[in-house]
Amino acid sequence: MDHSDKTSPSEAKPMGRRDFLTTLGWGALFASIASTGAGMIRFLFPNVLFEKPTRIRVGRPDDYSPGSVTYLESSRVFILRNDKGFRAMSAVCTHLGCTVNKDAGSNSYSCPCHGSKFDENGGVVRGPAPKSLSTCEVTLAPSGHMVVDLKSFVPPNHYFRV
Amino acid sequence: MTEIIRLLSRFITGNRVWKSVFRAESPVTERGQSESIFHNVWLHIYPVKVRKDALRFTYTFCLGGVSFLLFLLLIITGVPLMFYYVPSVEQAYGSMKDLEFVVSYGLLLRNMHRWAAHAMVITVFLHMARVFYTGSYKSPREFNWVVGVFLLALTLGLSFTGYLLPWDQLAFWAITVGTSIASYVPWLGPSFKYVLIGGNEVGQGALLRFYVLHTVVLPLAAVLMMAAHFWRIRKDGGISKPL
Repeated sequence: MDHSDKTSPSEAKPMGRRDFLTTLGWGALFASIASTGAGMIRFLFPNVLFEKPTRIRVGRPDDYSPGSVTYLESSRVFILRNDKGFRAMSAVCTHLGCTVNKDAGSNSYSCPCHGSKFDENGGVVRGPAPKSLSTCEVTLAPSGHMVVDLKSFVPPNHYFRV
Repeated sequence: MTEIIRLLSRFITGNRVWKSVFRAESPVTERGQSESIFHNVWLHIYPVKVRKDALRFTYTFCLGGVSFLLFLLLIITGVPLMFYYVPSVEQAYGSMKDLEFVVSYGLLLRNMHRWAAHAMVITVFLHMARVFYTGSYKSPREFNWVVGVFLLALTLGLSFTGYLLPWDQLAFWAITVGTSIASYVPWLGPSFKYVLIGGNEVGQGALLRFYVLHTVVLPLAAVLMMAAHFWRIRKDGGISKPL
């Protein structure tokens, strides 16, 4: 069997049957453990979520008077209207996800959890919030209703005009 | 009277059932007494010999033991709570209120669970401080220190997962904030948050996941780690000696 070994010991010895099967066995064991583990981890990431829709209808443009700030509680978004148009400003604090409140008697916003403050355009006035409040994309549905996409963001100077 | 007691004890201990449980006679020698501890599955956690110094209350303040006692109390009070608590967003808050106002002794069990949980965080922290200040983490006890750090993390994890279960405003926002902190971890953060709360926002997925972690995964991990922790105390030569 090992005839070549005896005649030429300097040549690389081919893997014996026992070593090959041992390696194969251990390899198969670890491969199955690794793939099961990977499957277990993947299993924990849900593919279907039963969460609120992120595209929401917020009424017709005429429902909002010029210069108004309207808070839509179920969607955690402020609808701002001024002479430049409409903005949908997210009320989700950029620090740790609490809901910011509009300050009484002024156009600034503050977060009840850790004291972040934002100006009338959502820019950070006082930390710990690292970023200004996001502005969500507003579009017009064929029915004439405005639609806010809570997952699609536009720059804060971007206004929606009818 | 003594005759009655003698007959009664012979009746209890003289039969086959008793002898199948307790094979040996009551030990009379000191060696036999220590062996009866050493060979018993429930008692063998105790060392055969204890240094007198190690028993001094002001050396350990019994902090590790008190932490373990509180853990036992949390299991004893937590399991009955599971018979009434329903981990669904519609019923969680209501079943928690039922435990407080409707279920007999529910308020007592829930408050014992709550206060023992707070106390355990404190005693585990103080236990770690005691081990640090007495230098008990030094060789040969380094590994047991590491096991202890894992147990501290598990205690905090149990505290955090239990926080969501009442499903009130405090719970909701605490977990919203807490899991947002987790999402700040570089690269893996957002995925970690997603898998922890089973979605993008704290909802039914988060409640059920936290419930399973709180009642099964983390307690089981804690029990296994505690077994290793206590076993290592014995194998590292008992609790450290006061200087």
